[in-house]
Amino acid sequence: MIIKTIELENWRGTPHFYCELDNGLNVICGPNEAGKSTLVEALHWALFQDIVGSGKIKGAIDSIIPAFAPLELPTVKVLLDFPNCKAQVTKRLSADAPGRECRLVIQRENEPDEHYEQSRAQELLWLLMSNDGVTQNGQNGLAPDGNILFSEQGKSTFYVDQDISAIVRSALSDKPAIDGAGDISLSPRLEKVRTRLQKLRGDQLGTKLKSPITDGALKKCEAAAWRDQLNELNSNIEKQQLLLQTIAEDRRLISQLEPAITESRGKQKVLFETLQSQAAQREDQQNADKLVSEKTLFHASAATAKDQLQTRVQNIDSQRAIAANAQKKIQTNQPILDAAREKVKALQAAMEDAEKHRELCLERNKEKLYTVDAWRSWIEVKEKQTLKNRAQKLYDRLQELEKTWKTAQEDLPAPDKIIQLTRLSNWRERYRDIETEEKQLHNHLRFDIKLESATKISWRADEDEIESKDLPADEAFNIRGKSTFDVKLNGIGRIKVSSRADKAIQNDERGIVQKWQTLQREMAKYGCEDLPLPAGFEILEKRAEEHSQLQRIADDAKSHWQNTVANSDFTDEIRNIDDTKNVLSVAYQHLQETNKDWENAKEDALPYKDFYPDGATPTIAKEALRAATAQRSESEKSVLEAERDYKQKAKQFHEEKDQATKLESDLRSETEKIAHAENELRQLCDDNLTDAVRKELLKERTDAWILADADLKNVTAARAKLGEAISGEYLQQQQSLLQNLQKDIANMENELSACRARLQLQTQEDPENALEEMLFQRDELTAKLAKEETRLRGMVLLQTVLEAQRLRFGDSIAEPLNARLSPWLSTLRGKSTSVEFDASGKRLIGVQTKDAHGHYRLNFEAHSGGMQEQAALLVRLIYLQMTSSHLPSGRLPVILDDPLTHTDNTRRTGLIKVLLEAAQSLQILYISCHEEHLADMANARRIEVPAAIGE
Amino acid sequence: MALTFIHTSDWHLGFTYRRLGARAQESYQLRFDAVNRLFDLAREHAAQFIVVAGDVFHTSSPSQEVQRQAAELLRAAPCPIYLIPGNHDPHISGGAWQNSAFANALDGHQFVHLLLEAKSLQIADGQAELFPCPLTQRDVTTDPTAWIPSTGDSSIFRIGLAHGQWQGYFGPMEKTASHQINPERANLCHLDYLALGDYHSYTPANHDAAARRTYYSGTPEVTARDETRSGHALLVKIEAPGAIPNVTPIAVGTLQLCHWGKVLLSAGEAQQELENRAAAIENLAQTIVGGSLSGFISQAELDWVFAWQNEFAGNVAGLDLDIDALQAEPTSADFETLELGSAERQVWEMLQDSIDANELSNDANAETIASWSDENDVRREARKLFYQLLSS
Repeated sequence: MIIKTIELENWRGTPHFYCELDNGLNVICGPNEAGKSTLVEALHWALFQDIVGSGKIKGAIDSIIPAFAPLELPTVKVLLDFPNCKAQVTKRLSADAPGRECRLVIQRENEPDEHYEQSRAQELLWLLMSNDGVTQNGQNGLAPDGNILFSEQGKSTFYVDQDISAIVRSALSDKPAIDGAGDISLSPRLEKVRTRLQKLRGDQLGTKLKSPITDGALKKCEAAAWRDQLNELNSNIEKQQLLLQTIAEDRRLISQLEPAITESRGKQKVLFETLQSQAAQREDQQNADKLVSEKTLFHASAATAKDQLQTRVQNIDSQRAIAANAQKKIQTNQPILDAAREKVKALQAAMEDAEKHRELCLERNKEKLYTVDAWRSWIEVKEKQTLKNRAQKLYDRLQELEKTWKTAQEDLPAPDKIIQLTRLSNWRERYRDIETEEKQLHNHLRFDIKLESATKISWRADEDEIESKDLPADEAFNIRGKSTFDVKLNGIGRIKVSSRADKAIQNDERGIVQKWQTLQREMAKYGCEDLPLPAGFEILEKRAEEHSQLQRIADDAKSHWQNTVANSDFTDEIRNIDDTKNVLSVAYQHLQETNKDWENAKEDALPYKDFYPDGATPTIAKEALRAATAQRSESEKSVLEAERDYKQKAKQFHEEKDQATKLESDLRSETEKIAHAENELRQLCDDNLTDAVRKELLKERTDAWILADADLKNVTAARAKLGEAISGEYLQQQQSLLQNLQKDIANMENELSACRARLQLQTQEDPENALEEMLFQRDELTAKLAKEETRLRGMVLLQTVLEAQRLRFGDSIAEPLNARLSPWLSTLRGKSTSVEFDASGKRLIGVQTKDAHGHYRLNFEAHSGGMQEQAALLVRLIYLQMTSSHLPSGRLPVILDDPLTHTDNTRRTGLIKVLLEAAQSLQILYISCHEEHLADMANARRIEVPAAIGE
Repeated sequence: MALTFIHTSDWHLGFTYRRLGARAQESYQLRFDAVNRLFDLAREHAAQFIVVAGDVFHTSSPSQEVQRQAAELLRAAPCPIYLIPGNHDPHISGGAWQNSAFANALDGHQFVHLLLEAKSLQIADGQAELFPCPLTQRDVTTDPTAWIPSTGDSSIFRIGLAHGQWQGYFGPMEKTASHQINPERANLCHLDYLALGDYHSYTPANHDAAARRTYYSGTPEVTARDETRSGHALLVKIEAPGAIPNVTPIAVGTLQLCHWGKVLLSAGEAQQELENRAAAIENLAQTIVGGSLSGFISQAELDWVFAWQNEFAGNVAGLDLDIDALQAEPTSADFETLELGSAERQVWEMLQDSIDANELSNDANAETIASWSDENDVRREARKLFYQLLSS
C-alpha cells in the first residue's frame, strides 16, 4: 500500500493542505508547530480510526475542529495505491456522530469507479488494507497494524522503553523487539507470565521431572504431602491385607484343628483299650511258654536215656556181624592170592627177555642210519659244488656281455645325432620343395593387363618366348615374369598395366627363407650344417648307413645280454633287465650264496670223512645211498616189532602184579576189621550187663519216653491256642504311640487355643471394616493426586511452551537482524559498528565500534539512550522491510514523526542515509523540523508545510 | 391356611456410607432404625415369622459394639426370626455367629434362630418347612441351595432361605459369579418361596425370578447411590401350599435415593440446572443425592458449584456427587476480553491441541511433556493457568 496524496481541510490550524508523495523517502519539513504532527494525526484518522457511529472520539474531534472555522467540518482525503486499484478515502468529522462522513471511491483500470459511503466505505477500506497486509488492530498474524506504521513525535524514548517491544511484536506477530537490555523478548505480558511461571514451577517441582510428576514435587508442593500420605496409606493397606490373610489362615487352621483333635481323641481311646487287652494276653502266653519249656526238657532227657541204650544194643549186634563176615572173606581169598603170586613171577621173566631183544634192534638200526647220512651229505656237497660253478659261469658271462654291449653303445653316436635314412629322405624332399618354391616365386612378378579396345597383344617376359593373344575390349588378363617385360600392341588401343611385385611376393620370399632356415637348423642339430647341398646328401647317406650298422651291433649286444639274463635262474629277481649294474650285483650275490651253501655242505660232511671208500663217485654214492636207505628201513621195522613185543609183555606183567597186590591188601583190611570189631565190642560191653538184662532195661526206658511225649504234645497245643506271641517291644511301641498321640492332641489343643486367642484379638477391631475405610481413603487420595498430577502437568506444559516460543521468536529474527543492523548502525553513527548477539543468537549483548580513537566494545545496556533508541528504530525498520517483502504490494508506508529526539545532528545525517536505503522497499514519511541537516537529500521528495493559522 | 411372613436381607449392620462425607456417621445408626421399623411392620401385618437371607453384618468380624447393638436389636423381634450368614458375614471361626458377643447374647432366645447348618426345620407351628442355606466362606463356588431335597411333605409350605446370585438375574449377558444359584431351584425343589439375599434392590413382580417364586428383598436401608429399589422389606402371603405367593414391597428405610445419573452442565446454566434439580426433591432431609456432574463451566460458576455443594450437603441426608469431571475452563471469549496481542494468542492456540515434541525441543523432557499435551485435561489445566496468570 502506498499513500499517493494527502489533502486536509480545516484540520486544526490548517485551512487547506495538499501534497503528493513519492514511493520512497518523503521528507516533510516545516517550522515548529507548523502542523507536521497534525498531518500525521489526520493520516492516522483517515486510515485507522472508525469515525462512523463511534461516540468515543467526540472529545478528540472537538479539538480538531479549527477555531477559525468552527462551523466547517474538518476533512481529510487520502489517495491510496493498491496492487489492483486506487482508493480515494474522504473522512469528514463532525461533533455529532450522525454528521460524520466517510466516503470511498475505488478506481480500477477499465472499469467505472465504485462509490461507497459510511460504514460500508469504512469496511471496504479496511478490507483493501488488510488484503495488502495492513490491519487495523493486528489481528492478522503477519501484518503490521497502524501502530507500527506511525510513530509519535516527542516520544524520544519510544523505541527503547517497553512499549516498543509490544508494538513491534504485536505488529509482526512472532517477531520480537529488542529491549533496553538487548533481550529479544516476547511481549511484556508474556514475559511477565513466563517469569511468574518459572518461579511457580521452581517452587513446586524444581527443574527435574519424575513420572508421575507428583513424585518429583518439592516439599513446598501440596502433592508431596499427599504422596507421602498415599505411600503411608498403601503400606497400611498392605499391613491390613496381611492381617486379614493371617486371620484367614488362623480360621483355616482352626477349621482343620477342630476335627483333627476329635479324630485323634477317638484314636487315643481305641489305642488305649487295645493296649490293655494285649498286655493280659501276653501274660497268659508267657505262663504257657514256661510249661512247654519244662515239658520239653523232661521229654528230651527220657528220649536220651532210651536212645543211648538202644544204640548200644544195636552197636553190639552190628560189630559181631562185621567180625564174622571178615573171617569168612579171609578164608575164601587166601588160595587165590597164592596162585596170583606164582603167575606174576613167570610174566616178569618174559618181559625182561623182550626188553633185551629191543635194545639189540635199536643198536643195529643206529648203524644203518649212519651209513645213510654219510652218503647223503657226500651227495649234497657235490650238488652244491655244481651250483656254485654254474653261478660263477653266469657271472663271468654277464660281465663279458656287459663289456660288449657297453662298447657297442660307446661306438654309436648320441641318439639325437643318429642320421636315419628316413630322416635324410625327408630332408631331401623338403630341400626339393624349397627349391621348387623359390623357382616359382621368380615367376610371380605379375602384370595385370586390360585393353580398352579389342586388339592383339604380344609380349615377352624376361628371356622367355614371345607370346601373343587376341583380346576383346575390356577383358583383363595377366602375365608373369621375373624382372623385364616387353609388350607390343597391334592395332589401336590403350593398355592399362599394373604390376603386383608387392608385399605378397615379399611375404612368400620371407616364407621360403624361413623354411630354408628351419631345414638348416634341423640338420645342424645332427652336425650336418656345413655340407654343400644337394651334393652333401651323398655324404650323409654314407653316414646314415654307417650309423645303422653301429645301431645293429649295439642292438645285438643288448639282445644277447637280455637273452642271457632271461635264461638265467634268477630272471624273476630282475625287474629291469636293461639295468646291467643291478643284474650283475644280483648275479654276484647269487654266486656268493651258492659258494656259501657249498662250504656249509662241506662242513656238514666233515664227520664222515673217514667213511668213504676210495674212488667214490656220484653214481657209486647214489647207489650206496639207495642200498643203505633200504637196509635202514628194514632195520627200523624190526625195531618197531621188538618194541611192540616188549610193551605187550610189560603190560601183562603189571596187570597181573596189580591184581595180586590188591588181593593182598583186601585180605589185610579184613584182618584189620576183625581187630577193630573186637576192640569195639570190648568197649560196648563195659557195663558188665548181660544181653538179657540190657533188653529189659531198654523196654522200661521206652515206656517212660512215650509218657513224656504225650505230655509235651498237650501243653504245646494249649500254648498254640493263645495265639501269636505278643512281644514286650511291640507293647512298648504301642505305649509310646499312645503317648505321642496324647502329646499331639495336647499340642493341637494348645495351637487351637492360641489361634482362637489370636483371632479374637485380631478381629476385635473389625479389620475388614478398617481395610474398607483405608481403601476408601486411598481412592479419594488417588483421585486427588491424579487431579493434581494433571494440574502440574498443565503448568509444566505451559511453561515449556512459553520457553519454546521465546526461543523460536529469537531464532527467527536473530539472523536477518544481525545481517542488516550492523551496516545501518555504521551508516547512522558515521563509524564502523557491529552488533554482537549471544551464543544463542537471541540477545543483543554488545556493540563494537571502530573510529579515529580506536576499536572498542561496550555492552549494549551500557550504551546511551540515544544509541539504544537508534538501534530500536533500525530494528523496527528492518522488521517492516522484512514484512513488506511478503505483501502483495511489496511496500508499506512508514510515518516517522521526528523519531530520534535524543540524537545529535551528525547522527541525523546518518539517519537520512539509512532512511534512503530503507526507502528502497518502504514508503517513508519522515517529519522533521531540523531542516538544516536535511540539505543533501537529493533522492528524497521534500514537502514544505506552511505555518498554521492562528498558531 | 395362609402363611404370612416378612422377607428381608442385607442389613449390613456396621456399614458406614462413607461417600456421604460429613453425614456418613449417621448412616450407621439408620440401619438399626430400619430393622426396628421392619419389626413394627411385622407386628402390624401379623407376620408369623421373619426370614433374613444373609449379610446381617457388613463384615465377618464386626466390632463388639456392633455385635452388642445387633443382639439388642434382635431381642426386640416380635415373632420368630430365622437368620443365615451371607458372603459378607460367613459363618467362620471367630465370626459373629458362634461363641461371640452376638451369639452368646441371643443364646436360648425364644424367637431368634441363627441357622448355621444346611438342615431343614419345621416352623410356624409345623405349618411350613424351612430350608436354610448358610454360607461358611466369603467365596463360594458351589450352589448353596443344591442340598435342598426335591421332594417332601406336600401338605405344608416349603420355604427356601439362601444368599447368593441367582444365575441370569441381570439377563443373559451378566458375568458369571462364584456362588450362583440355579434359577430353577424353586421349581426343582417344589419350594413355595425362595427368599434370597445379596442384591440390594428388591425383585419387582415382573422379573423372571418372581415368575419362579424367587425374590430378593433388597437391603432395608440404602448403601450405594446406584441402588434402584433399596430401603424395603417384602411382605409375603401364600394362601396354600403350591399357591402363587403374594409379595408386597414395603418401605422401611429412613433414607431415599435420588440418583441424578450423569449431569452435563454447560457454562452459564450450571446454577439454574442444579437449583432446579435440588428443588425437585421432596423430602430433602431424608434423601441421598447421588450422581456425577461433568462439563465445562466458568471458574466463577465452578466456585459457585463448590459453595453450593457444601451448603447442599448440609440439607440432604447424604450427598454422593462426583464432580471430578466438572471443569472450569476459560473460553476463547474469556481470553478475548484480555485484549492480548498475537504472541499470547499464539500460545493460547498452541494449547488447544496436541503439541509435537519438536515444538518443545529446547526442553530436555520435550518428549514426555509433548505426550502430556495429548491429554485435553492437561492442556485445559495449562490454559486455565495461562488465563489466570494473564488476567491477574
